[in-house]
Amino acid sequence: MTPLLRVHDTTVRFGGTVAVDHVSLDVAPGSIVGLIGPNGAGKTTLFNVVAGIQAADTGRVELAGQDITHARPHIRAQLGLARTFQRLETFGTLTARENILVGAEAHRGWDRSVQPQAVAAELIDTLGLGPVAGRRADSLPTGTQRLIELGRALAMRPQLLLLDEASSGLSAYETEQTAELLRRLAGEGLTIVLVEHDMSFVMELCDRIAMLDRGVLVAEGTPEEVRTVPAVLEAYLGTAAGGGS
Amino acid sequence: MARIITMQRVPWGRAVVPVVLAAGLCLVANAAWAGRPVTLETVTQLLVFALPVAGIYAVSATGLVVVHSATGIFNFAQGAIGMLCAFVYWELSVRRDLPVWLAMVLVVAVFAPLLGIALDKLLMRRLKRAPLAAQLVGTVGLLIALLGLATLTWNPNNSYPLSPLGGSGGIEIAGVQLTWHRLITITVAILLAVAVQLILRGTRLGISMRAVVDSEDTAALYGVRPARVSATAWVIGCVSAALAGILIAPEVGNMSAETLSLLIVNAFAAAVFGRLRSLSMTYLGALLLGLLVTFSSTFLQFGGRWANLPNALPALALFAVLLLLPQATIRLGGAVRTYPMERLPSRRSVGGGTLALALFVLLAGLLASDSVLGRLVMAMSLAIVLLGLVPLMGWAGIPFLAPLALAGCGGFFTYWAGGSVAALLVAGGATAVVGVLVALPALRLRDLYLALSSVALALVTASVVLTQPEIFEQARTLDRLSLLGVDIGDPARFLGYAAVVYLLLALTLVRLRRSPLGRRFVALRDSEAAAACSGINVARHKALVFAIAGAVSGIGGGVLVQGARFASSDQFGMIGGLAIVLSLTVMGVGTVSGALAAGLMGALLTTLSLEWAPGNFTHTLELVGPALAVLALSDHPRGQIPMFRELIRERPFAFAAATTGLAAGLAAGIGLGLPGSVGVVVAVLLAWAAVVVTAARRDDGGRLPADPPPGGGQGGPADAGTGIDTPFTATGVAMLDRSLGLELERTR
Repeated sequence: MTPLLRVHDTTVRFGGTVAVDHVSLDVAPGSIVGLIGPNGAGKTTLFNVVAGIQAADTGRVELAGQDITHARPHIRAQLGLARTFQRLETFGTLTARENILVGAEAHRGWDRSVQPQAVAAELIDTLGLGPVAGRRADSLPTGTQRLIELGRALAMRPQLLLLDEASSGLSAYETEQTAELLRRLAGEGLTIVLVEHDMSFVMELCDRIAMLDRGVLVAEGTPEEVRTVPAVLEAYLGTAAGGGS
Repeated sequence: MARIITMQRVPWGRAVVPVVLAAGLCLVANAAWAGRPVTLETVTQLLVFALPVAGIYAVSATGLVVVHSATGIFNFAQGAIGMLCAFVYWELSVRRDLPVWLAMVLVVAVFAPLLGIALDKLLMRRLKRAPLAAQLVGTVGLLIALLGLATLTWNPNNSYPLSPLGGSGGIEIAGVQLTWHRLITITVAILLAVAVQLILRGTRLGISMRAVVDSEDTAALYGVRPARVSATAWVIGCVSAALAGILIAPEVGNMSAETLSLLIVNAFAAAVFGRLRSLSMTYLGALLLGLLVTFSSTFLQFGGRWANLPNALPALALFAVLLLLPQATIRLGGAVRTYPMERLPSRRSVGGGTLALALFVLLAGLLASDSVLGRLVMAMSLAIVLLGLVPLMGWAGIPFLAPLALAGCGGFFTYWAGGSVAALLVAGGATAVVGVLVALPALRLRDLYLALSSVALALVTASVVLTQPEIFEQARTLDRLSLLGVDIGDPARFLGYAAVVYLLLALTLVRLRRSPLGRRFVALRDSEAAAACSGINVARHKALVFAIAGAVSGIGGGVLVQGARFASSDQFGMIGGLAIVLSLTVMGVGTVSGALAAGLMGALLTTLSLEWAPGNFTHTLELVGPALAVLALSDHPRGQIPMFRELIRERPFAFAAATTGLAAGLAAGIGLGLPGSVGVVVAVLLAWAAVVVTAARRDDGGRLPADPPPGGGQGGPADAGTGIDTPFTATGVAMLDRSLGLELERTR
């Protein structure tokens, strides 16, 4: 099967620091792929490269077979790529509803069948944002803003959804419900790549997991396979033997 | 799916700008070559003249860099502070006849540091957490206020010559005399560089300065005292400004407040060359600029249409340096500090506002004298010009300080198209194109650098573009205006016409703000990264908002020249443009009513001063108005109109008390015939007391809300009832599928 997302031999350098080091990654359509690794591993940088926010020094990015390496972010969005951010990037002075409308209206720009108000209303309802829909986004707690970002991304009806620490700031119940929502969306054909630190969230949700460490892809496979990789154990448990204290 | 994939980076893109600039420089040099031979003597002369010039730029730029590095504030008033210090130095050394050294010590070591501490304490620390536009406009207000203060204190009709330091002697280098004054200038520049480098690199204070600008809160946790750091930076900034002012004053002959204040643009270019961080690069920039300016005066001769080019050279250099900076990339890392977005006006408030304006225009037409009506026409025209900035600055958050450059183009196109009502449409369309052209270089820049490029644009437009023979080299006259055969040239009817134009544009803008496009402009301001990733073409939308601003401000310029029935470059100067941007920002840059209030405020003050209550008091009030405006801005960065609106809605009695206090203060000042500055102080104190009493009763004082809690967290009132609190049901799933179009895809 042709991967929906293909990252090929991508390297990003910030001065003398290699943030992403010759990383290649394929993501199959309809799958949920978790990108894990310690802080500074290069996960968000790789996301930024895929989204077009950060130019790579070398490498190639393909979306649904199209080379988007040099495409601007809004073109990638039109091609079906949506994302959320590690550090919140809501439109702070717009209301929660307007935030989601912006995503829906942008999508309407290239698909006239979309009814932005209806899409926004449904997503607000689904994500439980009704009580705060008319409030400025930056006056809301982090968890709520994460849901707004998720709603804005979903309103674009993407093929590929990049979620950067989507469960951060959510309550346990919201995390569980978000996982269920994502699982269902993946079941409907949406492809999801997520960066997460919540390992139980990743292990339960993802079909495949890739681990970065200091910019290098050190492990890739199913959760069961990755769980036993020494580098993963080393990074998360502090010992390759898996018997950390 | 066949879509064109736009290239993100053009490999040769960065090389284009320097090549074009170098080619342009060669062409200008070739065309304007004065014929002077390039010999050892002339080159030595060039260097000997260039070094002191560079020294003055460097000294002034040092202050800019230090203040910006430590406080994050770019001080547009650096030149005006230098000007004020130069005048105080003149006052002490010439009028009071103090010895030069004593006057120098009193100004540089006493007055300038005290001024720096006062500015920091009263103004700058309050502006520190304000949005960039409020910070910039705050220092612009300071510039205008200091100009007013100097004009009030030192009558501009008198002469203020300063003798060069060390007399007329000097040393001779390769047949060229270097005066003592210039030698002192070079020495001071070098000593200042060494001293500031030692402070920044070798002392705890210097490290504290660098730490505070990165994170004031974190620095404070490690024992740094941000207040002291900020005050020290302003002291260094003011001392640098004082040195530059005193050193440059004898070079310009008779001192003029405006000339001295505007010479700072050279220092802007030098400071930007050092990216507002590196002192060594700033000095190199100052040297290059000194060489450029001296080369121009030594080897080139400009005449005819380019006679004003030398005056615009620093602004052009600034523009060139800005274009040489690396292209701005999409910013990540959270939204920048922004104004709280104003509520969208309801239909009721729009209708009420329209009726109130109509009533005001009707009453003014019936009751006001022709001179007052003339000022109201001017005010309405400026309100239309400022309307253009509402989407640009207020919604899209693009700091643009050259509204009169766009208005000047609109004025010219209106004149060119015959000056009729229909000509306004031509002016709007053509200035929209100018707006897009202005946006092209602006797309490379962001925030402060964009604001600086707009200042350069304002200077170049006023001094080079609008003074072309085909444009306004000579003042143009326009015919009396008529509409459908009806004469609307008299002031009362013209005021009605201008009000209708304002209303049409204002209502269009309100409608635009409600539209998806308006939302996208705000989205761009709040988070460019998220906007781009949501499918918004950042470059196209920036160009579009510039086009809208150009169209509206261009129409405003057209109404301005129609109302005045003449058009000249003097109507569209840089300082005037900065002053109206200040008024708009003080009134509220995100609202269309703010533009009207800003336009009317100037007319009100002038009418008070000249007609209703002529005298020293109102004259002083008019001159120090900008200073009061800056104080208001530092308290309410979102603007007075939104603040008053909120006050009326939530605390009508407090609003009544504040207004009464202000009126009582004004009445006391005017009625008691108090002398100028004393009267203003008494009036302001009365008004201030009323405002403070009422403000103390308010919850938030109209200030910016505190930053959202880092990490936000759960709990608290905002959480109540939000989030996913029920499991998905089959109905909910079906609804979601429908809205996301998944149902369609599944059935395919």
